[in-house]
Amino acid sequence: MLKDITLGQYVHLESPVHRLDPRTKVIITLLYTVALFLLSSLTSVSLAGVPILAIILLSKLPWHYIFRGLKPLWIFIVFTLVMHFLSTPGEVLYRLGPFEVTREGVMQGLTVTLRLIWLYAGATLLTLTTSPIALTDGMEQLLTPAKRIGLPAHEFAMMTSIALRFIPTLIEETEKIMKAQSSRGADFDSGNILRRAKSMVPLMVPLLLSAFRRADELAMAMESRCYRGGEGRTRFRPLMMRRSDYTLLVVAGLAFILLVVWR
Amino acid sequence: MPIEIAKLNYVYKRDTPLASQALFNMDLQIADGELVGIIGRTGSGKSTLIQHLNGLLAPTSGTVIVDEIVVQGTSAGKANRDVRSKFQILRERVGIVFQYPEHQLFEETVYDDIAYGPRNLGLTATETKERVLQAMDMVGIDAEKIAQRSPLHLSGGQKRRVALAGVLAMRPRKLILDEPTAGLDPRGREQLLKLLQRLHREWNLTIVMVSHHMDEVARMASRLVLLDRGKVALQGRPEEVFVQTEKIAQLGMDIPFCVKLMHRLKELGWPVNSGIFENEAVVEEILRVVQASKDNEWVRHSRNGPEGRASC
Repeated sequence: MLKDITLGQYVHLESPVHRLDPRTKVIITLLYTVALFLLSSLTSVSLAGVPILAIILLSKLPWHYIFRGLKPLWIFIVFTLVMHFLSTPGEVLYRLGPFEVTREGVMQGLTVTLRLIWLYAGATLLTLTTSPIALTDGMEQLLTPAKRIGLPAHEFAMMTSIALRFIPTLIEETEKIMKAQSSRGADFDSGNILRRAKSMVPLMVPLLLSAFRRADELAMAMESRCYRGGEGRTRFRPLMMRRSDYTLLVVAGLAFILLVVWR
Repeated sequence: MPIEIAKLNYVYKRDTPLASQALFNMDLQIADGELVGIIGRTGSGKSTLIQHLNGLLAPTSGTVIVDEIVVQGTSAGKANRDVRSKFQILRERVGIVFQYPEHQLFEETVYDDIAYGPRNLGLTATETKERVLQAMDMVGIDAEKIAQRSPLHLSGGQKRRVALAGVLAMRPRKLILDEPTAGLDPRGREQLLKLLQRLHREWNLTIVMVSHHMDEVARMASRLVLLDRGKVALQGRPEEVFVQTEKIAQLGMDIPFCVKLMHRLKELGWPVNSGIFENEAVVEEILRVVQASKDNEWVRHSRNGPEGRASC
């Protein structure tokens, strides 16, 4: 259940993927995402899985750990698949009452589903191999040029990193309160929707209260350490682009350009 | 009926890179009417252990038997209906009061919050009312004054009592408390401990108290269980446990001040009884010994003994 959420959960391992500069990883993920939407045939989208699989291999992350996160998406995936099967006009493969499954529909459905899976895997890989702090530092650096047009890059990065930082805490808190209320006979997973929604009240009220309490404490702690926004802050660990980062960026960039040109 | 834990293993986040084992082949029995203190450092497995006692966690392997209800294998969340009703019964019998239980209060009034458990059990309004009033009485809350107030506006000590009443309203036969005095001031702590002792005595509740405070557990518990890295490192009656000073120090835990004092006095040659943990009783014992030694002046002369300067 709650444990299955892998998005936004960093796993600390020693691997070439982990060692890359977060900026490199963010840029490559972005390029990859755009590329995925540029590709249209089933073959090309299938081939787009090759880099993902290669990165998983390099990152030393266990396979199931990445794809387990897909579990909550199953319904969505099946729905997409069926919708495409049935709603695309073309050469009819199979007929069931008023519904027609077309060859084009199958191709289209598989393409879209595969794209979705790679998209998810790419985003998950980014967060699994990059610590949240490194990730937001990278984002902040990448967004710095936009400061000139008034984008609060630092504040944005700080908010994101705090939000990410508190995901596990809130999950933990939720589990704790769930356990406490279960000990008083609460039942969170039976009954109809209305009953379930109602059974969430004993969970949500304490959770919100504790979130506000935490936010308050955190604000106090930051202020007592003289936090005054991003102006003039230096880093304990400045980000460093290595040769491997540049090489990879050039390769990815070239691949992307080739793709755009060839399409 | 007793609690029996046999060969209990528990692994958190099993089958992930983050897996970590919290309990190792643990065996433990808790008889009815006992007041057991479970002590251990942070991460020694105390909280993991108690969550097995009402089926919040299910063993990775091994068994937990509470009142002849066997808990094993399947986790509570994925259980089917049969298993779920089993857990319901278990949760009625075993009440767990978590750390900072006042953080789970959510209702608009104290009355409703305490009634949450009984209502979940499907009791009628009259039965619920009876239980709520009784639970409030048990923890010493004035029903007339407080029942209709918001639990969020009470003092820390009162909130904790309300939370405790919320668990007691389930009428458990066994009460498990995780760090019940954490965050209370000395007076609130003293009152809560007295309350627990009274519950134990008057209602004959089996009480399991988890703590890393030796002092408070020592004088309450009839048996101490020391956990270390997911195993039972030491257990027995408090006076038996505290004799093993070195081992306790090795486990990174502190011996209660009174015990240290008595041990030291004994070392220095005073004939004190070192099996005493209550502050007042210790004072009386020292007075008794001092008085006795004054009566036999030769005792002090024959040993080039202490002048009552115990430094600890």
